[in-house]
Amino acid sequence: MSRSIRFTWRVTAVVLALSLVAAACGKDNKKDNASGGNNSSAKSYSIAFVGPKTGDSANLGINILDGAKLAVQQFNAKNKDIKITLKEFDTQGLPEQAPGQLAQYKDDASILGLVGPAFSGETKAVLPDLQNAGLVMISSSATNAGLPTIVPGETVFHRVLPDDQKQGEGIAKFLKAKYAGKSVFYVHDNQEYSKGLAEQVQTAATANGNPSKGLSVINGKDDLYSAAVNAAKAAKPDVIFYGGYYAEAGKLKKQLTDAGVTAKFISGDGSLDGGFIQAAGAQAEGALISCPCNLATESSTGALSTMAKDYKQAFNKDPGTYSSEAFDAANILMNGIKAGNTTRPKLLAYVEGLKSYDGVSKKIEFEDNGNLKATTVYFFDVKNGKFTPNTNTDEF
Amino acid sequence: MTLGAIYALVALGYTLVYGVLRLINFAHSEVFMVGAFGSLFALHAIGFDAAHATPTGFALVGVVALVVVAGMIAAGVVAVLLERLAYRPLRKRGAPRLAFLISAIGASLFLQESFALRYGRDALPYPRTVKRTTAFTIFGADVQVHKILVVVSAVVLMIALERFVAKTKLGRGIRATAQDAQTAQLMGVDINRIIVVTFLLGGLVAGAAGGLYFGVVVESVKYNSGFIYGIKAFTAAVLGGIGNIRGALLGGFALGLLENYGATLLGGEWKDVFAFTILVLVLMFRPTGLLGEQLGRSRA
Amino acid sequence: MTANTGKSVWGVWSRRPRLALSRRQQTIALAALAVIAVVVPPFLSNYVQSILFFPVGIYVLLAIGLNVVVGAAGMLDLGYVAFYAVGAYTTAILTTTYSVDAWVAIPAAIAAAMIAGVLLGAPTLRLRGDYLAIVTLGFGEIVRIIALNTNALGEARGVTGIAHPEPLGLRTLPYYYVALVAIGVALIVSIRLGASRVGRAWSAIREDEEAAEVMGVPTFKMRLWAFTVGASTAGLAGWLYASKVGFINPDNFPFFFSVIILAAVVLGGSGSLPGVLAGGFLIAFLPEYLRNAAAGKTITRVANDVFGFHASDVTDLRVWLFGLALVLVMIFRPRGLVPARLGGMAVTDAPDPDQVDTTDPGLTGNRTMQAGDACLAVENLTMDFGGVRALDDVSFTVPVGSIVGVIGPNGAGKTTLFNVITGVVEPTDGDIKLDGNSTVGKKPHAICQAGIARTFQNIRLFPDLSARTNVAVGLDAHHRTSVPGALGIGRRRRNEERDAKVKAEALLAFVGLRGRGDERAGSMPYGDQRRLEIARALATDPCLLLLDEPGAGMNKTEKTALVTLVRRIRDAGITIVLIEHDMNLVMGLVEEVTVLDFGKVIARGRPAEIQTNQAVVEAYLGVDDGAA
Repeated sequence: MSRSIRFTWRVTAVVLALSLVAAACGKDNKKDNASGGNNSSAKSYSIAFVGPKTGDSANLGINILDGAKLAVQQFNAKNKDIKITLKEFDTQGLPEQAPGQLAQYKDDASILGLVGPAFSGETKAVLPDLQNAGLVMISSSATNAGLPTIVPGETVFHRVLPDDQKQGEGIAKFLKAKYAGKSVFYVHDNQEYSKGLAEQVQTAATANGNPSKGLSVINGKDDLYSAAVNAAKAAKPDVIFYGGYYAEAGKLKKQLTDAGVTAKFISGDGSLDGGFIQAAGAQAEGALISCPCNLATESSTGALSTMAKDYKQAFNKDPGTYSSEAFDAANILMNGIKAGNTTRPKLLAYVEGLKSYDGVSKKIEFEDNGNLKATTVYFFDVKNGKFTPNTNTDEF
Repeated sequence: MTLGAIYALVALGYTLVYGVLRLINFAHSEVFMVGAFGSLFALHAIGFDAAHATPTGFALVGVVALVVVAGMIAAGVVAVLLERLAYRPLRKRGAPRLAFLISAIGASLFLQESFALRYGRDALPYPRTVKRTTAFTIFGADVQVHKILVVVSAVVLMIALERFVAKTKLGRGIRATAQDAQTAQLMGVDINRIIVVTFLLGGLVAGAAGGLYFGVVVESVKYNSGFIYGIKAFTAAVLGGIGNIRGALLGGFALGLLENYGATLLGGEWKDVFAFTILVLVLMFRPTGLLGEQLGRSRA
Repeated sequence: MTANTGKSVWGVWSRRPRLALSRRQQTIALAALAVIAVVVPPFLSNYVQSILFFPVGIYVLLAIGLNVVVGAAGMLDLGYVAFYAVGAYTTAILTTTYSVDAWVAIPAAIAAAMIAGVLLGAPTLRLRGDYLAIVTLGFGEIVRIIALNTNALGEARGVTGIAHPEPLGLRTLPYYYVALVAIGVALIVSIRLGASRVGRAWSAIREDEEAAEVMGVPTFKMRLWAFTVGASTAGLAGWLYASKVGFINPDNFPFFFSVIILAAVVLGGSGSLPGVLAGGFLIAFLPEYLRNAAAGKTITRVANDVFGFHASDVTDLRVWLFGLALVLVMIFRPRGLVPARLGGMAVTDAPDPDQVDTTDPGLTGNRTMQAGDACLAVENLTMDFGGVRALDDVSFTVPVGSIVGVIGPNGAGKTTLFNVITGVVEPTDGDIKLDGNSTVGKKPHAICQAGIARTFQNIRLFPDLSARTNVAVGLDAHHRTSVPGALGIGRRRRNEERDAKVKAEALLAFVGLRGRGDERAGSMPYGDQRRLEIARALATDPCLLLLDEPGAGMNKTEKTALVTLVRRIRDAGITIVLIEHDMNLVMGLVEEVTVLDFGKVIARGRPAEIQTNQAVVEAYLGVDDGAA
């Protein structure tokens, strides 16, 4: 019996100790957050990057993060009286990881706005909470058409590029202008984005007089898409449109070319990544990739070209997909803070009331629901192993 | 067919190890993946890259042989290391079977992530080793030379392995251990040696498969390339009757055809459902797979 | 850090492979844990609260559920995530498409998961071990692919706007407490089922399914229950996740998730509830901890330098470290961090000694049969295996209250005869009657409950269960408590549990193993295992006992004791058939002998007659065909 009583005491002691430690930790955390970076003479605020830094989608997240980083560096260099800190929250791009990160940035009172979340899925998972916290978000890459309607009456959602539906319409417009009357075969990998885009283009293009030669679904996890390649070959289309991401797009393009299919290969923004060219190798040549984003390349002009050069200097690599959009998103938030909107409600009101902003990627005007007014879709050729701007939908 | 041959080769590794140890070697998919990386590094080492012209004649034979052998060596080494580091300590401690499974899963994650962290998460491309030419057309489908090459190489390997297990002294040891490890030990079979040989054999075959498939057919490989094939190959092994070499071959080809058929019939998105449903049906009527567990011991 | 302290740490570690806590101490520890879990979280940051809900709370809940399937019943399930998905999707569809209240969705989510469990289980649970594993894996994938391709389930879009239970709303802490309650309920279910006929049946199935069936355990039903109970927990977890996050899509339910939960169960200690709690917590918490840990920088630098990695911070290394940890833990703690105690979740405590009447083993013996009737009648029994005829037109009767011997050379078909009588295999032809009623076509457990018990040639006890639990499994042949009964508060369960404890003690005393009920069956000396196996068979309260070479491997003293024991069993009114090679033992014990050779009865009669029978002598010594 006495052993058991001693045991009880020991357990009780441990419980008490743990409770105290935990309580102390909890308080510490809050103190940390309140005093975060408050020791310099300049006024200090934060914005947050929310997106994948690790995991399978890390490439894309880093493009965005670096775009935002560049904007913050330039802002801090120009504005001595305000210091902006970019805090980074790694969601791996996964909806199930998003709420955990949300709990962190939502509690950090120094954070006034978000560049992100990067993907549509993770945005869906946190949008109700963001609205609840009144935390304004500007995504540089979440293009799902349904996002603004998830939370009725929401105000926090914004994005600096057109959605998938607009991209689909843009691609159909392109087909009508450049491939009038030509037939199209569609392939997607059954993910939400992929399927939505492929079906969007199919509907719009068929209506525009580009007959559809059928649709094939691939399993992205496979390495060989024999069934789809055979179907595409048998359909003898003039154009093949693929809805999906760069890794699968690259493999598909390569296998199509190897199988002797010579139809024009077109894909959407998910394929606009160096990974596409790496995966398709020499067979990537001649592919055409669309994007609602305005990719900064060596051959860009104007402000976008300056941004591309600065980016190259800062990170020793070319800007990636959405880097320029993230650069703009961060700048919108920081301009708001500079204009004295230093609380979450004020910054939200500022972004909501923003008339127009001349970004490096495009002129940015928001609709009431947070969508971009402009619907321009940009097209890039794969030429000599690099993406080169071809045209955009404003040109026709 | 190509896919079926690859499933069969990888399934052999599962079946051999299962026959001898009654253990699902969950990390076998990573052995397959490492084999593919081994081939890639060997090609890089001899300076054969994307800029290089696609070889012909003797150079072609040499390059393909290099792909196969390098894959075998890399995968064989990893398979043996796996046995030494992740399984043998457990055997020594008389761990329950579940512990092996978890250790295997741990080793699998460790290997995958090691490659991801070192070589990145995007697929690494191979230079083209075999030119894409159509050999002949059957039922309107083109049969390409490189695929024939892979299937033929795979079949040669299968026959070699089957003969090895059936005819050699080591093969007899494997069969004896599979039937009754204790008696085999009493008869003077060195169990530890047999187990290492079993892992090595499985590794060699998987490595060759990895080199051939990723190096010649897919022409790219990434850190988690092995995973899905591991699951499929394991399914194939079970379909044929796990622990049974011929069962693995039959199961591999059967699964390859089923998937192809399912994809054509129902569309690519349903082909896994199709294959798994067939598996369940087969197991309901033949609970130990199509050919049963010949290599494995009959349960007392 | 001196060498000395290092040594002592390892010393303690290896000297105490099990956390040897008493029942009382475990209760206290659990209560303490509960207090921490309730009191502390409100003081933690929102982030930690969020982590404590997901992944920690969800993982722990799922681990407890999966432990029923894997730890208790020993079935390897690689598709557990399917039931979690079913629960989540049921919640999602009901609260969006059908506008059902989120609270009302709880029973629906649980029920849907249980139905999925039955749908998967019924056709496939007859498969053993690894075949079951691959089928469950396939099921997990099928559920995900169906969700991915069905418009009503949102396809890849998933389902958004899943209702939050009011008044929980958007805050995290209330969900954490709901998760805590769910975990508490799941724990109570596990504990109550463990300490009942159901838990013992699961343990028996895990140890030796065929022996369990022969000892009267309805194995199919019990396995199905294990699957269903496991599925229900996952369904609840699915509800919890869906209603908190408000958005699900097929990517939430990958195969890898099943693996992670399985890893949690085995890492913590399969079959050990404290272990499973620890495993679920660690697997969920460690990766999150590593995200922010200060040690991260050092680990990252070392890994980058040594292995040439390109990790930007320790977050990149999480999965790598996780894999490494799994291998290391399995090597150094193969039974998990907190290994299960003897018998896992199934416990049979020692009874109150005052209640045990060691003189009365509680055997009813011949029931309504009269002396002189045929207890067992075997009629023209034939058994073919492929091309081999193991039994060929075998007929004999066993009179009530007699001891009959079956002898014959190796391979004569003796054990096959027992297997056919107990229903392990179905005869090709012929009939078997127990007290005039045919048993052919019945399941082994039903035949056992009808009154035929057996022992095995190569002892098939449940080695990892205590001696008392082994006997209690036999006693359960006549108990009726199933899952609802074990969970409810009715009196039957209590009565049956007392009955099991008390009678087990009496039976152990009857075979001479008094006071040894807590020993591990598989670690007992050989002769004691034989006697324990007899006690387990007697526990099913048979009228006919089949003993398969009970004297094998015994020394002379043990054999003498065995003869006495067999006579005492007969004196309790039980008819006995025994297979034996030791002629002295047979001839001294039995009243009649049946001789089998090549599956045929070649002689029957009293021992003295058989010893001089020419056919028998030839069968044993062999004849030179050429001379015949």
